[in-house]
Amino acid sequence: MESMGISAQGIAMSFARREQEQTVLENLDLDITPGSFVTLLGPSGCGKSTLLKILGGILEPTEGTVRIGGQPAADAVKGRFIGLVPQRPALLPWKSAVQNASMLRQIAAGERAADAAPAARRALELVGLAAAEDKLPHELSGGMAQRVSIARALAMDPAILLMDEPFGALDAITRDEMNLKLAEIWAATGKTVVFVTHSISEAVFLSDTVHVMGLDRGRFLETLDVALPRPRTREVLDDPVFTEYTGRLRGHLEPKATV
Amino acid sequence: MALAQDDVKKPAGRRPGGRRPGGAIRGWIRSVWPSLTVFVAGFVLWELAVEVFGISSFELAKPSEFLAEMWRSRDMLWDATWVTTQEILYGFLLSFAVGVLLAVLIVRFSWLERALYPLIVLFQVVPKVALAPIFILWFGYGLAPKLLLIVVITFFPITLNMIVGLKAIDQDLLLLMRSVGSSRNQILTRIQIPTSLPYLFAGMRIAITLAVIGAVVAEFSGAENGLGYLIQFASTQLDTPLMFAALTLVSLLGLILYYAMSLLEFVLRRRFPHITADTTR
Repeated sequence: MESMGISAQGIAMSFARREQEQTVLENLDLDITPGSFVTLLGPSGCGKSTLLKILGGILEPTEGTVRIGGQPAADAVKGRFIGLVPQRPALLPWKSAVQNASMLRQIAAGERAADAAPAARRALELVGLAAAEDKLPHELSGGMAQRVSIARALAMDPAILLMDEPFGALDAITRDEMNLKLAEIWAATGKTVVFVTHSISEAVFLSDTVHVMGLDRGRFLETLDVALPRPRTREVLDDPVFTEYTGRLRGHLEPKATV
Repeated sequence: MALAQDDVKKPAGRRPGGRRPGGAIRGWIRSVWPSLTVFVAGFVLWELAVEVFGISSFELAKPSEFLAEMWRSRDMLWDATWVTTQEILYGFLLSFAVGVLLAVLIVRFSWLERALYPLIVLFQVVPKVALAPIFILWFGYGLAPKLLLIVVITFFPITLNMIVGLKAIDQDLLLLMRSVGSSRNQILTRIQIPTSLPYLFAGMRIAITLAVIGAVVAEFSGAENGLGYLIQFASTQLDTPLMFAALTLVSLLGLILYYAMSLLEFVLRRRFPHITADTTR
């Protein structure tokens, strides 16, 4: 599917909690161009996951409008424009890697297993797991499981990938590997990616644009356009520009006057 | 609610990897022989104790006595065993259908959960074996009151475990399904029901043993044949060896049915490896 952009205006979200209304997000505007890699960076509880779901049309905002590829967000879900990579892999334990990667095509698009398998295999190849297609989830490492989860989203050939802290639970070394892999996948597919993380270096390494969200109703503290060269490889991490970016973003996220 | 919680048997963790068949049999023998030794030793001690202390066979039959009785009355006992087995199997199947259906409906429709769930838990407080005479009164001495009693006694662990299993769905998976516009029915049939299988099996293991109790109690209250009926009959005749013979067969029946459940689980494991088959532990 052709990559799509997202345009969000005046987004607000509040939940009723113990009869009190809590406003999580207020008056946010966001424009995401097709094919770009955009990251929402912020501390836990700033509403970045909520915003991600709203941008994908999975969650309806209390106020504001979201248009995906020029269409109302609700149609994006029905049209299966969205490929979601949740926080945990959430694989079905009784299905092999390739069956898990086919799963959404089968259930959502009503395809038969044999028809869904080729796309799933291509996606597994893209994430570097072609050799593990018959393995069951409990035979996979954490990083491999998360790659199956990414393949499951890619197999749908979505217009937009939504990734909700997908590498948060992985160890640092695996995480670095996954970031490199994701940069590679993004370059190969040209999908629009909206990525949520609280890791500053991950955000800078992967993104074209980083939106830093604060704890005050998700207000954007800064929007940073990352002017690092592509393709991004390990060398980028040693680039002084990279260090400058991460230092600048750290300034927003450090707790103030509490230490 | 504490009552409801206690009845939930959480499925154990997955046993990693498969074993070679030869090794499995040897492993099984190794795990079984200690309990088998104790079992046989118990019978020998029993036999000796009755002999040494001169207990009359009217009070406590010797194993050799009731085993001989078992052989003598084998036709009658076989008939009775068959009758009871049928009651248990039909009752259990009915209970399975009722239990699973109830759980699925309760999880699918929240208004049904609000309407039924408290009543189901409340119903657990009723000592259901006490219903047996009422069922006999309503339905006579045939199969119907036995099935009804078994269903009433056994559906609860099935329903409760199934409900817990259906609700054990990964929240991230639920979100994922919503992101592609899946319907609630799709989520239920493709994700929730297979996810609930280990929980369901834990409930079925409890239910099958309860089904044996249900059949025996129902037969106590009024029957024309069956092992429970024979125990009752033998007790009125002061025929202790026959009582013990029937008792042994009921116990054996319960054991076989319990292991049949494990076998079913083991077979289903090929398709659903997340079901655990902890047959010998």
